[in-house]
Amino acid sequence: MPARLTRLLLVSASAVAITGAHAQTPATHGFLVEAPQQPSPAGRAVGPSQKEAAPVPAPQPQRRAPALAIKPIDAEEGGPDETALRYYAAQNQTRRVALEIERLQRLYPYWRPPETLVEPASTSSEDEQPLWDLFGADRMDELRAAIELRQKQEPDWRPSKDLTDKIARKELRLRLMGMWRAGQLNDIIAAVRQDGYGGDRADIDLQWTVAETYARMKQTGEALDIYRSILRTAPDPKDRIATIQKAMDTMRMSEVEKLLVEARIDEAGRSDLAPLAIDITRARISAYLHDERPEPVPAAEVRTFEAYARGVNDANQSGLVAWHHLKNRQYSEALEWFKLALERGGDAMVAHGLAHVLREKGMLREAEEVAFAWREPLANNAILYIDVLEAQLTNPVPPYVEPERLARYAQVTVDLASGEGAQALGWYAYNTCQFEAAYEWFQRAVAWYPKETTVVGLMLASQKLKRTKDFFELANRYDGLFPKALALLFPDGYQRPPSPCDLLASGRVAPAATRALAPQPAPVHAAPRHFGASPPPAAGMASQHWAPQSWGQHLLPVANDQLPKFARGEFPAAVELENHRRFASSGKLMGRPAASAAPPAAQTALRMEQPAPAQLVARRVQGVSAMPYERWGFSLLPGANGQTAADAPHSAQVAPAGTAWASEGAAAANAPAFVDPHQAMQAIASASRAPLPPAPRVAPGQAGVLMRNAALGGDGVDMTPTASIPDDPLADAPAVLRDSLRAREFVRDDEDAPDLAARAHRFEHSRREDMEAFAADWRPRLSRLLSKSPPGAQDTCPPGQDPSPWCEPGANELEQELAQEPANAEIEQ
Amino acid sequence: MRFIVLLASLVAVCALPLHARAQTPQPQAQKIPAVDAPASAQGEPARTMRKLDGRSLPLGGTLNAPQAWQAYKQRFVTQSGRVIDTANGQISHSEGQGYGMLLAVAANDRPTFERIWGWTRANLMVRDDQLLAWRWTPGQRPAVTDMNNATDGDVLVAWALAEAAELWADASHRASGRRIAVELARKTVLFKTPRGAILLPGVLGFSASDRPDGPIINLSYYVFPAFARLSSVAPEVDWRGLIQTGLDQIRAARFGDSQLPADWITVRGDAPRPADGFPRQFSYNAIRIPLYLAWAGVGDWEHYAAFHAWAQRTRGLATINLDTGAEADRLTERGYGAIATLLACALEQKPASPDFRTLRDGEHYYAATIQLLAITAANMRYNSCQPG
Repeated sequence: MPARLTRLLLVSASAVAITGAHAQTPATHGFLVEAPQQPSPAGRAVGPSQKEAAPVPAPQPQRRAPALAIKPIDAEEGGPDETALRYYAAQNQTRRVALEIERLQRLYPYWRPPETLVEPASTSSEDEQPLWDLFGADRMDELRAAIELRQKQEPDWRPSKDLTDKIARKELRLRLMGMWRAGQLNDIIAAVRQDGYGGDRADIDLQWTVAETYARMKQTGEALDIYRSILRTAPDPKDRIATIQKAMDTMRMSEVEKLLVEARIDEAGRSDLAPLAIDITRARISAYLHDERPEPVPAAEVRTFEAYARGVNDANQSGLVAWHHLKNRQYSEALEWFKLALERGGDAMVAHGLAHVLREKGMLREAEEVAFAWREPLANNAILYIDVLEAQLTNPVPPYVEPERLARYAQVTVDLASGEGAQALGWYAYNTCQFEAAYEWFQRAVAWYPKETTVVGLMLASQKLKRTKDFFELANRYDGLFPKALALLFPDGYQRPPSPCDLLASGRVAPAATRALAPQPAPVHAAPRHFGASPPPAAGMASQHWAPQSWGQHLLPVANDQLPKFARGEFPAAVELENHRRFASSGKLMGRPAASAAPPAAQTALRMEQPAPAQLVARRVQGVSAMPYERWGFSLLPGANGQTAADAPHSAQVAPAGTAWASEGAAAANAPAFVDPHQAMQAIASASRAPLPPAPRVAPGQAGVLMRNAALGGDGVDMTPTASIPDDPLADAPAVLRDSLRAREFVRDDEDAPDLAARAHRFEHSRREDMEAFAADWRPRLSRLLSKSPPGAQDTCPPGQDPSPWCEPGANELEQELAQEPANAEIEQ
Repeated sequence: MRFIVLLASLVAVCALPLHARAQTPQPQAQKIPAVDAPASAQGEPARTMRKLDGRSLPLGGTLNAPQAWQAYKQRFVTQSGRVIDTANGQISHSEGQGYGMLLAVAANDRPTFERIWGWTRANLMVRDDQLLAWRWTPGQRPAVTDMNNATDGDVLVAWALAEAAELWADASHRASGRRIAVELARKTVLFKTPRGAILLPGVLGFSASDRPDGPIINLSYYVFPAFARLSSVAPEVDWRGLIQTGLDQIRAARFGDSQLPADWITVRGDAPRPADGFPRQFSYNAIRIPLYLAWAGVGDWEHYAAFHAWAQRTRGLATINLDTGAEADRLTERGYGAIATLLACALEQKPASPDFRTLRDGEHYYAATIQLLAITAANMRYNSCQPG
């Protein structure tokens, strides 16, 4: 056993005799355990091997201890951490003892050094060596047993106070560290509250652990106290640096800033935390980027970091600088740094930043290329690619786009099944007078992204192609939901100039002549709309989405503003209110499919649905403004919530305070853009030379199939585009729906029928060929309608009960609707 | 005036909360006295629990209960991909579509997933943003009967898309999931409140400017397992912050003797309390909180204690009136019992009974869905749930 020389027995007020060097003493041993240690991962247990790792200065031959103050200090009283002091004393390092006393007195002016720096050894200390060995080996159970045994054998024997204290501390430490490893953070806090953990006398690992526990449990005040105490007392600069690093790992930078003021500045003005300067700046920049730090990072610091980032071949560092510039809207600098980061192997996220900067600088073509090139590794780029070109394609006067660029945009649109891309291609085609392609793309857009403007686009394309059935089907389906779609049926009473395509079609304008057109007179701005709760320009709706209406910014009232007339079956008409359009993506893979443990599920039948009878009168919907026909006095049924008046449109909603949306401010709201008629004429020229957008591919034989008839089964998903609107939307409908809709037509034909019973009677006899099916489906229901109250009948099913002839969901609505019929019939007249 | 409109709309959203499942039309006005109210979580001694498995795990292929899934599809998923809430007038909602999509990914059933997602986007994505209109009513013109969103529906759909993207690697799912996830974080999350990240239940009607007691939260909209996974499509969003705030609020929002949270809670003021104008109940919404906690493997005993006590009720599960501690509605459908089974697996390592994986005939959408979700959660994280 290596002999230790230091055994400081006694420190008297005047002088102390060093009585000699002895073998290892309990006191010395204890100091070593408590001595500050190298930074180490939190959660590390302190075992015997680490005693050797502790910084043990070589013992200096020292015969005299310094003169020390009188008052002994009670270990339990609190106060400064005397560990180091006692350690140096035990090592007989007088000079260090003096320095430490001086330091502690500077920190704690009222503190007096203890009278005894080394406790008197227990009389039995020599006998305790086996116990200390167990202690050192963390064999606490055996240690307890050994003490118990010895007390039985020697009733007068007591373990030294030193040993009992250290056993208690070590047991607490082992318990806390065990909880830490088990992730029982709450239990750690409870235990620390109850038993303490030794405060700044605990080993630094334990202090870090407790601090991190507090930090993770969001008790940052307590965490900060511990970290701060370490910073003030830890003698080893490495420990102080490690403490800051740990704090940065577990707490927000705004909290860590409170610790950085503890830096010790030497005479040369150099901070002892200087080795961390780059890390600190990095964390500050990061906090700034995440909006956790409101104030900008000091410019000098950023410059230092930039110099560092330029010097290291690490794309992450240059990327951080680039994002920082982007955040500060310093686009030119950001551009340079993103380029540098990409050169240094930056990933798709760096490319994403680069594309953003290019877009901000108006370099749309470049942004498009970068986003396209990096679209596969990162969905953000694919989305950005769609969005960058979308803004251009939906311009009422679209720029020239090369055919190959259109083709690849179309491909990515189908790869992503992107409604945004599909409607952009639809508008591009529409505004360049290519209505067939527009129709196809809008079909997809309505399947993937049935927004108001998308539906309007499909209706317009249908109108141009004279697909009246599609047009009115959409109008009926979105009646009550999309005022702008209905505005195509019920104009607002103002004239609009013809669109470029209309002029081209009419032959009144030749494309070549358009450039010679004289500038138009200054436009007269629109009068406010004169009816209804007309919505303000929809927030977030780009004007380009609404190109056709943009022409109408220069309005003259229509001379003969009358309620339009529709043929029977056009509007209002009962249509299926479910949108059945479906188109699959191209199935383009992004990465490799995960190998799933489970085999693909077997395909079995899905639920057959009995469509509820469709209605003719729309109900109010929350978040939807007035329908255009309301200015002629027509109204809507009360909404599901009972509301009778139109709402403000949901698109005009105020962003809830505190959301990122709210902080974006009003700048994001795009009001419909003013379109200069002269610009419109230019569009005619471009329309005549615009490349064709590629038509989406439809697999032969698949068009016209409703989703619900698509065959089930097979190995994978059916990737074939699966639906367009069939010739007869009711052809595939179950008999009940078909009959209900036809019955309704019949009833409406016969407005003179005196009463419901007579109508139903005539209906029953008018379709002999369907009588069998009719009888099964309708007779019970009709008789209920006739008798009003058949025995046991219920209007609506009890919730949860499946529909039956005597209880159908919506059966009472049929009566309600029939009663409302005359009011609606006026529209047709 | 605007306030009145907003309030009216709020009442409409919430007076018909998704889970005010109108499945008990029989008069049940009399409240059953709380002879078997849940053991007071206050009185229960603090205990420790085994650390849960909180890893972020993929969902794909984890619903290994083919028969239950087939039965579910046949009963609640139409051929066009609509998920029917059979107890609520056959309506559909974004929540149901999201659950359907999640279960389809978990069952590795891509054709059904595509059907449900196809229906969802074609019929609910009618708002002018990337969120979903929350309610669709068959036979109504128009079928979308409210343009407001329900944030949990958006979370579920985005999560399902993220899982689908990982399982099947289809680029379109990742892009769609990302768009929804980013939008819901942008429009419905208040990231910088003193309480942390507050998730508004909808864009309209719940914020501080919409209600005198706003903002309102619904803790069952904190879909913990979703937050743990959405970073795969939207890494820039602080999903961990949402998890932490959800946990903090679960710890803080304990009302009455039962110490359970209310479905709707105001977080204005010093301490959370049940929101004004809503039933002060631990009800159909909030029963999902322990399901989501255990599914994500997050939380400590203090998060689970009250739910554990509730799940141990010898009289069976029920919704709880938080003022009296009495039962409000008995949860007689046995699908709900899967929550108790899952908690027993997670907290006590008790094996599940063999019928845990069997869907009962005649039970409605919500109970059946909860059961399948619990099976999925158990398969994902708790081996102890394998039948003993």
